[in-house]
Amino acid sequence: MRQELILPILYEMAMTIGGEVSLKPLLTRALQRLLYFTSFPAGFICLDLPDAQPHLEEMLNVQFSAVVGDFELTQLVGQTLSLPAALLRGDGAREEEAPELLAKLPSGTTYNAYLRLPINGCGVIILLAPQLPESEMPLTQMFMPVMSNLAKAVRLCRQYDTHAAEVAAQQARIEHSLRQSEENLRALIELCPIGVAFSSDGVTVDGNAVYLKMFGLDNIAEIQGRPLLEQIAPQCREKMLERINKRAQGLPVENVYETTGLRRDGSQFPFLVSARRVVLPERSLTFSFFIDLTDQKRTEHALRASNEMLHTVLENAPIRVFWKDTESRYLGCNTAFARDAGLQRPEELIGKDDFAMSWQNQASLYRADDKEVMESNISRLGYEEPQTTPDGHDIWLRTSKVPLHNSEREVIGILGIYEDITQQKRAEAQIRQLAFFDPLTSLPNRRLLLDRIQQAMSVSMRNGRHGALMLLDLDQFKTLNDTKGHGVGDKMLIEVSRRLQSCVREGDTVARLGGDEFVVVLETLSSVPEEAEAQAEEVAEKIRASLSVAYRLDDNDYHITPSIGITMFRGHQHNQEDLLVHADTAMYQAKAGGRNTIRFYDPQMQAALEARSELEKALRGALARREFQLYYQLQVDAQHQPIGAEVLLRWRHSALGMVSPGQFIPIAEESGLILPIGHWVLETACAQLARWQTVPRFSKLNIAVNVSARQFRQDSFVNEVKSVLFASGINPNRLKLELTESLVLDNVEDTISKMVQLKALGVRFSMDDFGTGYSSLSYLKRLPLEQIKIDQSFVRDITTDQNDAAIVQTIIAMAQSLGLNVIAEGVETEAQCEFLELRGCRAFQGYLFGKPVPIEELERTLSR
Amino acid sequence: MSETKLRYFDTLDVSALATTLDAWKAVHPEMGVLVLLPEAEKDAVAQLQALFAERGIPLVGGIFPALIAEGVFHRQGAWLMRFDTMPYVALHEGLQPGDAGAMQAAEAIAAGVRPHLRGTRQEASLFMLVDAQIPNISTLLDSLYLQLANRVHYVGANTGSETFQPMPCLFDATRIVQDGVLVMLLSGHHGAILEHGYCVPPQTMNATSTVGNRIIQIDWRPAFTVYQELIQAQYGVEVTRENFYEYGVHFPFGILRANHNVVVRIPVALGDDDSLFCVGEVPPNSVLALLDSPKVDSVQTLEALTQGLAGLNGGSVDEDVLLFYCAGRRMHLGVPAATSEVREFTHRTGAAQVAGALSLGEIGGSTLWGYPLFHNATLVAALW
Repeated sequence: MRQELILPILYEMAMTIGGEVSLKPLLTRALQRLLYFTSFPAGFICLDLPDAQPHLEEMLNVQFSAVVGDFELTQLVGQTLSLPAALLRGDGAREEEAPELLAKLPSGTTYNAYLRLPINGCGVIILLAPQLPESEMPLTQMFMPVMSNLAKAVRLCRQYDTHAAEVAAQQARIEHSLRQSEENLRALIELCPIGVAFSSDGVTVDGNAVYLKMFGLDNIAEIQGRPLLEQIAPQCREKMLERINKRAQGLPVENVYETTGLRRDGSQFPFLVSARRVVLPERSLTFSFFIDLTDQKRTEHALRASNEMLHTVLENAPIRVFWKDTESRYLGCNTAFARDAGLQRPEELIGKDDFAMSWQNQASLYRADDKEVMESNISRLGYEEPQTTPDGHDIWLRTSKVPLHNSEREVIGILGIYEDITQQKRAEAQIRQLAFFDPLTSLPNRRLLLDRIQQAMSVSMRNGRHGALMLLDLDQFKTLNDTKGHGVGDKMLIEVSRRLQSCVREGDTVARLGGDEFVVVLETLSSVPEEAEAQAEEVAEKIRASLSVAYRLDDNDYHITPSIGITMFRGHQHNQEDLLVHADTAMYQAKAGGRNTIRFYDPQMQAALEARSELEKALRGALARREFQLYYQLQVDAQHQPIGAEVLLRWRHSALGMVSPGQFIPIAEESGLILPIGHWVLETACAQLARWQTVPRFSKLNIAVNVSARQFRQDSFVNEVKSVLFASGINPNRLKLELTESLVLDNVEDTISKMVQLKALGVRFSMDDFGTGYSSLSYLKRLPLEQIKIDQSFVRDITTDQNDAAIVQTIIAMAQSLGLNVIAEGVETEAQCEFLELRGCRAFQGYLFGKPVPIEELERTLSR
Repeated sequence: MSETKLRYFDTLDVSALATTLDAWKAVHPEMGVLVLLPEAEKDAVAQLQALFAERGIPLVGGIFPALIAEGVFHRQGAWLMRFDTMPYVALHEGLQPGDAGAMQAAEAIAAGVRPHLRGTRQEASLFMLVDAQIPNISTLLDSLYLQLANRVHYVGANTGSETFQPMPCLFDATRIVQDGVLVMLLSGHHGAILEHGYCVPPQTMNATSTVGNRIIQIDWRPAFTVYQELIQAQYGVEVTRENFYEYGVHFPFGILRANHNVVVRIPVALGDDDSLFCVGEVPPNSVLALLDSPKVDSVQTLEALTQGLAGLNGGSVDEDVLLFYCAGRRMHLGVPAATSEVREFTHRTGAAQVAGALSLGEIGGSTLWGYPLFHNATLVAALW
């Protein structure tokens, strides 16, 4: 090769050396290019030769830093070898015949020639050949600048390698740390109890076990690299694709949303997704969390159904419902309540309190009730309270409030329900007014009077003072009424009433018994009899004088005078009826005395009292002597067909003959004899029913038995009835127990309890003498009654007394509204019966259909 | 040899092929076959694959512009080259361009071969058939030499179409691929002899800018311009862009090496930027010379080949010989001269049979255990 070719070779070698930055490729490439240019087939490089200058015959411990072209030598790169110093040491050399020296190389190839190129103090290059390749060039000299460059490059590459190794180590540490972090993250994701998955622009990358299970998959490989949409139900894919596209474009998109998934088995399920796109250097990933909403949706559905049911119940129940927090602020109510409050919708009520409502006047009362219920943690049930409506009316409510608790049983508010009982209250008031007050004069009537007398007697009993009862009637009033008409008569009576009231103290009673008869009850007179009589006389005189003043009626003056009978009382020496009889007697004495006069009763009744005592004695042995007998009075239906009978007790005394129940029953009640007598009545009636049960034509008949208060109040009453029913073997439905109003009202809760127990057996109940007591509709509703019986006192004058007619009509209407049957007793005329029928009464009892008779006679009647 | 391992079929008669295969298989149940096909018979590959598959006989092969048989070039027929026991074979496909692609392919090839070299010191040749369309064959050989060094001899040739149009040109029992390399490890094989006989003229120049097989600049000037001037000056021939393809094969470059060896590079295409594309890479800064056809010395070439082969075989050649003859060389010499050269080679070697093909580039070292180089315009001969 010509000399001018040297420069390109050196240039190429310089380029080769300068193009490498790392030691191994530097040495390999440089060696390879040298072989190429020189046509030597093999060569090696040893760097870092020992510093010492050994004899050339010695061997040096060195390492092959690079080997090219000799397969066996290439296997020894990096190993420490022992090579002849004569080969490695010395200046550049080109030896053609050195077989012995080269035979010491650990190669299977036989080399005879070598080219030695020292690398400027940092090593040596030895090129090997079986025979020396031809060359005209002074190769050792020619490559000296190359070796100089190579030496520098070796130092630079070593620095680079050191640095690169440090960087690589650092990188390895970072990668290890990253791998660790990834493993930790992976472990966390796998531990995560919800589904976690990664995707890249809509293509699934990875997912945890929960995610796979959620979608019914076994292995992530099933979906890796597949479109995410394959896990989405077809009907939701369009929306999902829109989200994916927006997210890929970096546009705003909802990160948390619900959609429907598609499992591998084709089933669908709802799930919640929370997705976030993270832009990484190599790509963008979307991290998503998935929560299976199947159970939640099921629960929500059940809850919604439950809520709808509750809502329906609340909205359709015929009651008002509300609930408040502990500060008595409304949290909710049903529509009925909202309407009562003048609101359109329940929501408008939320957050308000009673002070903001139309019933602000009652707000303090309600707040106190709320507080009491919440603080005591005890429900308050069924109490009545007033309320002012949005349009200013006063109404009555029956309210119940119960404390509301949270799961820790802490009180968190109250639940209230109420019903509007205004109509009931009005009906009650009306009945009360009709029952106890005279419609013309608004004075207490006979019933209320009797009560007032009773009260006055009780007061007298307590304070030891006397009272007086005056009975007066107007002289010649009937003449006035007949001649001047009822209108004048009524006005006269009203004026008389006013004047009477003006003559007495507050607390004294003025009552109208009917017609022109009035009663005045004076209380708290002196404890000294004479003084009390004087005080009574003084008032009577005042009355007489007042009533004797002319009456200006319809522009005419009328004169009238009273006759007044007075009887004094102290405590319960006499009953009301007695007192009235005494007063009546005295009044007739007054009339007999010439009218417009005053007379005191003359107590000549001691003999009558003694006679009563004798009667009680006789009564005590009556049961043993079998002197009692049951009479049966027929009860009929609307078609006047027999439906049963009321048993009435009769006492036939051997000496006294028939004794009136009015005489002996009060005595029996007071003496307690009513208990065995009542038991006998019940037993006898049931025995009769048992007999009737065997006779087809009587088997449908009922028997009504009156139960006295004393009898009913016994703790053993229910068991007593049970044992009688059991012993007789009758159908309990055939037995009807009649209770009086006074009995019921005496202890309502006990009454209800016993009635409920007996009703459970089949026994039926009728309320006797209805209208004569203080029956409260609110209690009446709670009693398991089947029937109410209109007292014969109302029936008697039903066709002539508008007052009684109105009472009866109201009672029937009320009974119908309560779902109760009505039976009227004391029906004696067709007119009465027709009147009752027209007003809806469908059962009757009275002389019109039959007097009380012995059983034999009743059965004969029934058999006809 | 008592029995020929090489058999040429002048037509692809399936029954004749089957008869031969069945006869071979009966004696050599572990046999395999290397098939050389001319370009004109490329459509027969599937038929061959079916034929071999039916018999369970391993098959590999390459497609060349023409075959060499009985001292002449054939555009039809097929060579069946039997191995009594099929050696290690690997067909790598989809080789990537550039240094990285070459290194990757070399590592894959070496990884496949290396296990078969362990535990033995027996000589071996790495026989390679390479798709001529692969632009980085030299780099591939460089990389292979770093891996396997002198443990094997390097022998081979390029397959493909003489028109240099891309086509699948390597196959095995099931595939036919392009951009591939077929590798066979021939144990006990002594390598090949490669010669071209080109002489080096005195004037040299530098390839100052090259990329792979593309010479962009020579002496810092556009390569084609320099090429035109050189041919005009040395041979009085005016080469234009139009007649370039006619003249290129007659005026190849030689890459000069320090030991006077010349590696021939035939320019086969012209770039728009006046760069020249050669068969085989031209390393940057290579010393180039414009080789001249009259300088081809066939007698000297054949002598060198014959002596070389005899050297490989201990002094005589009485076996079958495999010969690859460069298509560019035939184009340069003309078919009659090339045919004459092949016949003379056959006569001089005294081989039982010379089987071979017209190749599009050759692989071999010019010295024993020499560095493997990729050549053009050479003859590569090996005992078979």
